[in-house]
Amino acid sequence: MDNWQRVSKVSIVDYFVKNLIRLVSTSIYAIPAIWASSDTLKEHLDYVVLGGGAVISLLFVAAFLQYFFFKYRLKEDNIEIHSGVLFKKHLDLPFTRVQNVKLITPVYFRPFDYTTMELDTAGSAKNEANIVAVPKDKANAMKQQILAYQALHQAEEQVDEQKESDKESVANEAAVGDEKLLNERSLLDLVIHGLTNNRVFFFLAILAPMADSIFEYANQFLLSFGFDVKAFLFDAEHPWWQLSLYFIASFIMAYFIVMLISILGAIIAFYGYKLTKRDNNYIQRSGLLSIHEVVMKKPRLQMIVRQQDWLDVLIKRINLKFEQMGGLERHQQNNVRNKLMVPSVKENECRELIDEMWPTNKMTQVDYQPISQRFIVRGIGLFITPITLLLCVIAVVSEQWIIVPPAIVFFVIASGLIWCRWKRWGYAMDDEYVYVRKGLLGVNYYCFAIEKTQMVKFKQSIFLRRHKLCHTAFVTAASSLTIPFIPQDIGWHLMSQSLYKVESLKKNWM
Amino acid sequence: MEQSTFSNEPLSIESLPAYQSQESTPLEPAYIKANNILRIVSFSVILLIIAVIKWQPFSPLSADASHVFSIILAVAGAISLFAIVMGYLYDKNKSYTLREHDISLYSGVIFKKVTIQPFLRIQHIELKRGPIDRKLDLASIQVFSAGGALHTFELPGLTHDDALSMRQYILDHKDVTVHG
Repeated sequence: MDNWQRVSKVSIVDYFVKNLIRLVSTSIYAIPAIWASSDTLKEHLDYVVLGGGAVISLLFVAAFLQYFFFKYRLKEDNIEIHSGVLFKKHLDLPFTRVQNVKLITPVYFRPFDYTTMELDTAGSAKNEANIVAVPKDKANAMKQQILAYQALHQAEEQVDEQKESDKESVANEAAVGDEKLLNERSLLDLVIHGLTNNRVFFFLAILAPMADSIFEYANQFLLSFGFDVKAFLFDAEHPWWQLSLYFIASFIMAYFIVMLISILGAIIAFYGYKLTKRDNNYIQRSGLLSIHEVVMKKPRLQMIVRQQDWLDVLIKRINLKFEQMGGLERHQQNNVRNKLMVPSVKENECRELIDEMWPTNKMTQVDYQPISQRFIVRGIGLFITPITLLLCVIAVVSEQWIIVPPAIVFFVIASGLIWCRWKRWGYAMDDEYVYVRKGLLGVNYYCFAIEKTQMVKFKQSIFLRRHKLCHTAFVTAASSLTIPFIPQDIGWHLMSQSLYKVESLKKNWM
Repeated sequence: MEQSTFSNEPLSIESLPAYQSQESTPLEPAYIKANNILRIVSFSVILLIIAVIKWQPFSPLSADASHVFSIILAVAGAISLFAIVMGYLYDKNKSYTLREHDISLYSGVIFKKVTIQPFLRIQHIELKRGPIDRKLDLASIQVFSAGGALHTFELPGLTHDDALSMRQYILDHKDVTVHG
């Protein structure tokens, strides 16, 4: 195995697809322009086809070159990779530095039984090694070789009393140790998740390149039934009640379709969901088309979020999120998939998982303190009353008395919602954690360890000062949490408590 | 030892008012003055441009347009006055407190805000000096935590020397806590 090797020619497909995706995603902003000039484009269809063909063949040539210049060789204790067409890259990766060996199988590799090997290192993402399109058994053999070397190395180190502690930990983490299964999601769970959460965009993200043709097709499909929207709407033959019935029916229909798409999206994103634990690492694997893997080291956990939408509350399912370092550093795209989230778990599973992460945490048992009722007063006084009054004034001025009943209904419903929101707000603090509860119809619980606080903020307007109230914000590396309308003494108390914990315990936040 | 020198341990609510009424250092008067002048000049330029358009003799505006421009001028004047006064009050109300383990920034006129950044959580510090700052020997300090760019702690209007020594103090402190 000492000689330079090329990967399989199947890798060309992968390079091609990756480049195509990159091209499409970088030119996504051009879609409105293309849309606007679609008429012109249609006139010069031959040029469009020619240009498209040129781009495709260029991509193909690029993919071939990438394949051609990619070489790797395995030695006893390291792997060397030469790659790059214009910018040559030589990577020499000792096995001891490999943190994690991932095998990713995109959908188009499955029939050929090929897989992509990803070697994670502790350093930056740039130093990662990807070996595209390796036959599965060969990939497994290589994985075994690397891990066996690491195990051997580790054994040697253990014999040798003066081992370097960080080297050992690297070897430890990469050892093929037993992964303990923490949670698994069945297809039924994912269907429930799709129903209760809007996961449409996972589906749309895949369809985006084909969106146009789909709309076209849908339009033709409707027309083929002889359904003409214009003629239907402006035909005097239909009385108004019939029209509104049609509208309600089509609304329900649309809702149903969206639900269906959402379920599909949930399945695409979370198919075969598995959360496992190895040593101090939590590993999440999921995905239908290509399997995504998210790894979180336990100390990196910043905040636990327990989310329930109103439907979730009804059927007693919970989305449990384990938030790591903030979203600012990571790219916004695919953010949801880069997060550690267990979709639609049951109450007991949720408790087990939280206990696994932070056993002393009392997220659901702790007594939540309500916030001040001024919250309701402000909501009604500042937003709802002015809008209602405006509507009434319009009604009086234009003598359109029909506006008044909807205005009153709006006032009642909006006030009710504000009250619901107030009812959900709650906060608590114990020796180790800060807890916040909020929501409207659903309910979300947030919890973070006090020593993970990065910064605290105290906010008070002159109106709040009159009532001795304040807002208090806690900034953690994952996100910031604001507790509004609490007594200012308590606000200061929470702030100085958390500062005291941070400054006196001097615990690490990651 | 660390705990005995600790200055903020308000565990009982009674001791808390003292915490809030701590002495804080206002910004340098030179900074407030420079900021004032800058605001007055920039708003005057805007008003001047509007006035020039209204009264320029080269292509006289129609009566309607002239009327519209007087309204714009009045509104812009009112906004400028408000912004200048509020800006002055905002600067005047800004102050900071440097403590053993953290730094607090007090700001706001109607909406009061106190931001407290423990040194232990600081990722890095930046010292910034614009052309005016350099002329007046001023500097501003930016403190970054892992909370992200949205929650950067910025303290303007320090003398250059103060800023330098403050930076050194924070860095030394961090060093102590990391290795000690």
